[in-house]
Amino acid sequence: MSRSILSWVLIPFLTILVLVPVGFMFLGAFMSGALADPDAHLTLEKVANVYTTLPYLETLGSTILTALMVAGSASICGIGMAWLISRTDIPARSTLETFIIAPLFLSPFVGAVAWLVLGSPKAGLLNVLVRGIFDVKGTFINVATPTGIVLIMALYYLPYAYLTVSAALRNMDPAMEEAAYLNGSGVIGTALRVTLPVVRPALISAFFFIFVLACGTFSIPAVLDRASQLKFLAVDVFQASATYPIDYGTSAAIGTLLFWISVVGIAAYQFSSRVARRFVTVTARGYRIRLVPLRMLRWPLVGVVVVYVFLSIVLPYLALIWSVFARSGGDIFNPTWTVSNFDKVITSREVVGASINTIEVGLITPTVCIILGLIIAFSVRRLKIPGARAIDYITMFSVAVPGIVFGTGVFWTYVMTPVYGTIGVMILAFLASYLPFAYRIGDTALLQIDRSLEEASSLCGAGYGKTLMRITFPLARPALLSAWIMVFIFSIREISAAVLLSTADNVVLSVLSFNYLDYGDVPKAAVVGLLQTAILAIGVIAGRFVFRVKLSNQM
Amino acid sequence: MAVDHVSFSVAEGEFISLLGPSGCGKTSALRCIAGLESAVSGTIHIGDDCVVSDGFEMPPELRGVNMVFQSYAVWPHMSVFDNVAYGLKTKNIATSEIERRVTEVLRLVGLENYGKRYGTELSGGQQQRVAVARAVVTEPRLLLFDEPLSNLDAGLRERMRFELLALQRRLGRTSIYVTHDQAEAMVMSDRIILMSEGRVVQESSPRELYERPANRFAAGFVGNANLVDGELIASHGQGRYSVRLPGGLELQGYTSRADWEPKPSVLICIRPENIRPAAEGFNTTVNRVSYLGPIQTVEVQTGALTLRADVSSNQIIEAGTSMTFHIDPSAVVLVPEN
Repeated sequence: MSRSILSWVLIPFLTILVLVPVGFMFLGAFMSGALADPDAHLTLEKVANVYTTLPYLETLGSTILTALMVAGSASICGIGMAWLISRTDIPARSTLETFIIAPLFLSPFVGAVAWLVLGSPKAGLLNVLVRGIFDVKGTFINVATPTGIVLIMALYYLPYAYLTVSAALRNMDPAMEEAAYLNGSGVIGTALRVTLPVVRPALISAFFFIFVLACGTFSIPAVLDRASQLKFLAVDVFQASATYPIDYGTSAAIGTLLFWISVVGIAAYQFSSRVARRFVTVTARGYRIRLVPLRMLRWPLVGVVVVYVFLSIVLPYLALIWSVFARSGGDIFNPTWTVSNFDKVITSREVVGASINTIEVGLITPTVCIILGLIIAFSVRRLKIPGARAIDYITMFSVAVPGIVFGTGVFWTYVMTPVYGTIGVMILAFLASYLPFAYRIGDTALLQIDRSLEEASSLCGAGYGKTLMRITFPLARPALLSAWIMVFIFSIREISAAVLLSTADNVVLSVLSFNYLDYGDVPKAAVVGLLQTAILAIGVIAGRFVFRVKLSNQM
Repeated sequence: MAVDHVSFSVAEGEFISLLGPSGCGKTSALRCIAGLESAVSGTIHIGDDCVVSDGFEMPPELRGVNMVFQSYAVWPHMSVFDNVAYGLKTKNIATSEIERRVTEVLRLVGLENYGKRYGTELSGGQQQRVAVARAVVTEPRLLLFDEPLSNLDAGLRERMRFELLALQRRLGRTSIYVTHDQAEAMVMSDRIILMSEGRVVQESSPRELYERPANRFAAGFVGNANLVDGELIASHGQGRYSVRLPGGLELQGYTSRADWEPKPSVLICIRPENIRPAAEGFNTTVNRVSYLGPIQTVEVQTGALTLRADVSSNQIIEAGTSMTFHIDPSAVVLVPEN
């Protein structure tokens, strides 16, 4: 009896949370103006424009092309690093791995700001340095170019490829490669003819995953693409609803276009991960595979990884620190330091306000998300409530919806309700975006708890609720805790869903930083970026050392 | 369908086994009784309560049933004491009473000093005892066992068999025990329900099952058997018949089931220990001898017929020699195909 009640509660709730915003966005694409506008009427004009006219098709083309290049370069470098760490005797493996994965916990937006500081054609720090050292004129590096944008995006998406391939390598039966060695195959030969084909499905799934992420990405192009050389759909969505001339209908129409691309990309991803799963051969033996000795190449290859870490983490944060603490107008070789920039900004009312908002969102979203994810996983997997398949589908639906698209949809849904303009509307958008992640984690955690542990509780007289509280939840707690921290990180750094929902009262740090950038105030943006990173770092460190959470397993 | 038209009753205080090969549906039947799985149709009564009927299913926590799981299912995040006390806590029994009952049950299973240990610190055998303690402390009216000994090594398994049986006799709880090990079922049960492919094949005492198997499957599953297709020669009334085995050997035997008429071509079951060396009987040539310690298994041949005989090890038998055997008519069983 109580099972049906759960269905009656969950299905409408999830529909409103996840499906309704997307539906409203589709509705908005066919409207001539905002829903609040009394003159607004249904029209095909916006959709026709976006789907058939040249400027938008060009944007579509460049978005897809860029995403393909980002996915390709991230995947190739990712597999290289994964092979290096898992299969060779490279020193300090776990340290290197931590650093390779670290960009996942940082904000790509903040990274982009940092690279702006580093690589702008005229005043970029790297350019200034090179000019100073080598006494030349001209531009050494320009990040505001298509190549620059592709490389920087690849830098921040590489960890996804690394993790996927690394997991596949670890789950591969070592005997496959051992058999190749015994049959006379050398290191390169084995890697290319045995290892690569086996991890190829995992690699392809990572490729599509990054492709979908890159297509929908707002943060990096919005920062670096100021000169609008390269057109990005996600940025266009934002500009159509935030900059003159404001055209909500077109914004929604572009959102729907992005939605279809993601759906196709996710379908390709799911297909290839299903294939990848067939290649998993987890053996119970657990003895270690023979590592390829690198000999002379050892330190050069460590150097390669170090360069990656340098480019993705060290250099950007040095640039940010410089931007914040160095007196402006000073000589790069003889800097004078000041904390006045930092002080002023940190204590300003808007930054304090934004910090409070960010932390509130960062604490509420993961908590609700994880609890909801566990309840849904329990209902679908254990209780098998009626409509379980529908619930599973709706919950996972937002995986195919990029942040900016969801932001658009949530905007259209709640713009005329009192929740709009509060942090509540942000939480609603984030909740729907991250629910698939929390649900998957809850599902995996449940899978690892043998059913008989819950059945024994049942036979000892406990109903579903007591069993969930006394048996399931305590046993799932480690996985749930690490999921909490991941969603915390996502919420703190999220900008694409937040930027469209931002009004005077619910500004969060990422949006504030973006606004400063818009006004041209890079140092202020950098301060906020550092503040955001500090909050993220506290979260990760608390997780690692206080709760002993191992985060790399969760991706 | 895992289970098809299964029907049986268990008397109070009885220890019955559901015996059968993997996939025969015995665990599914057990889980339906416990309420962990749903039957498509049928009814289940426990005591005076109807727990399953058309459209109605009582949830497991209300059935007064408890179970010892194959994987033990000892909760790793609780101590042994808390594991066993769990079922009493859900009933809101007073703490002092819980203390008393848990201690008593732990002593019963030999774990009285292990109360503070955690599940993960125990050996397989100890975890199994915790599982048993937890299942009996709530004094369920029906106790279920899902192959509880299959994860233990052979020596421990034999010892635990007797301990479980002794415990059950002491507590007098009605028990249903699922196993694929026929020796286990024979040793422990008042009655055995033999299942195959989702159906009940035979329901009888261990001796009945062994000496009068209901069909070919039952004859082959329990113990060793010489299963031979023979010809019916004559009927002598009261279930006694004469049969001819391939190779010409003629014997007299009885049907295993009173309600069945054997056809001209009939399956004959002879247990190896009943083929005894004798001075008078039928002649055979010895093909092979296997020494097993207490007995030796002798493969003998008469004409086209090959039989296996279990003979005491006292005499030395060599391959290639000839031996005479006698089979008592009561040991020749005519068995239906199904």
